[in-house]
Amino acid sequence: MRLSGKTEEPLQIVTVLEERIDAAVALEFKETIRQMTENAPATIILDLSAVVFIDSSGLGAIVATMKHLAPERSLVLAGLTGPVDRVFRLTRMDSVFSLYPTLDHALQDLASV
Amino acid sequence: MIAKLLNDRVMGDLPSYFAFKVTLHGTPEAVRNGVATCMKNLASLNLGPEKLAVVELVMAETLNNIVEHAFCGQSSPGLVRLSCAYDGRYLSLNFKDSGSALPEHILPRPKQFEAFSDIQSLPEGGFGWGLIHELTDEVSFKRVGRFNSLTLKIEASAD
Repeated sequence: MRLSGKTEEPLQIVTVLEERIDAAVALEFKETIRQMTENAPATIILDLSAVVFIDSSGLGAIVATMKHLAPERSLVLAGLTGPVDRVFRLTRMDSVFSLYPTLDHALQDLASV
Repeated sequence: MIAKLLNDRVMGDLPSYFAFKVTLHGTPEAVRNGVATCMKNLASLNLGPEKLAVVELVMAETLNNIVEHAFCGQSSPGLVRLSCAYDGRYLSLNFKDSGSALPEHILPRPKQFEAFSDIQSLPEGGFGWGLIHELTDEVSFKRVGRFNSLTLKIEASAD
């Protein structure tokens, strides 16, 4: 599971470099991001713009990550492609996360806080 | 993994004009590869990227359910046979596995989640059946001998 991380206080950006977050990698995804965000600042942006497929295991891993980071830190999502956005909408998880169309939108909105 | 194209041949109780079968082991990695093979086979139907994304998700969710539940507790993962057929209007997906039967031989209902008031109470799973029901036009299940047979239909028009 390839993820890249970059911290620009007060934000950490985690970019998923894989096209799929599915049952085959969900556990690994959860573990990797947990390690990467151990010393993370208050807000973590998960950049999903490279991801073209997510299943309910992948969604579950993202929800678990958010729960793990709360309440001190929040996880926001950026760059949802069509198929990823569909899964969030159909499961109503779109109402649980802050979603930004692109990483730039997220940065603009969050860096100014 | 065994993939067969069965164009213009009658296959079981599914319509016949475009059809193929893929047999895969019940592991998450095999599911990923099996779904990729199916999507390659379906490409020639020109159903459009939106519909194909729906089909891909439905296939993956269903196969993941079989891996997680039907084969759960078995010493080695069993086989799943996915038969896919298109009759010009509906794409039919039939999944046969030799895993344990669904409780009472009926389909689980999609889980209803309460309003999400508290982050720690958010569900981390159980989304699968909800997605399958939401994205398909027909869902039917029968237990045939020691096999589970699940058929899903998705309305899809070819361009």
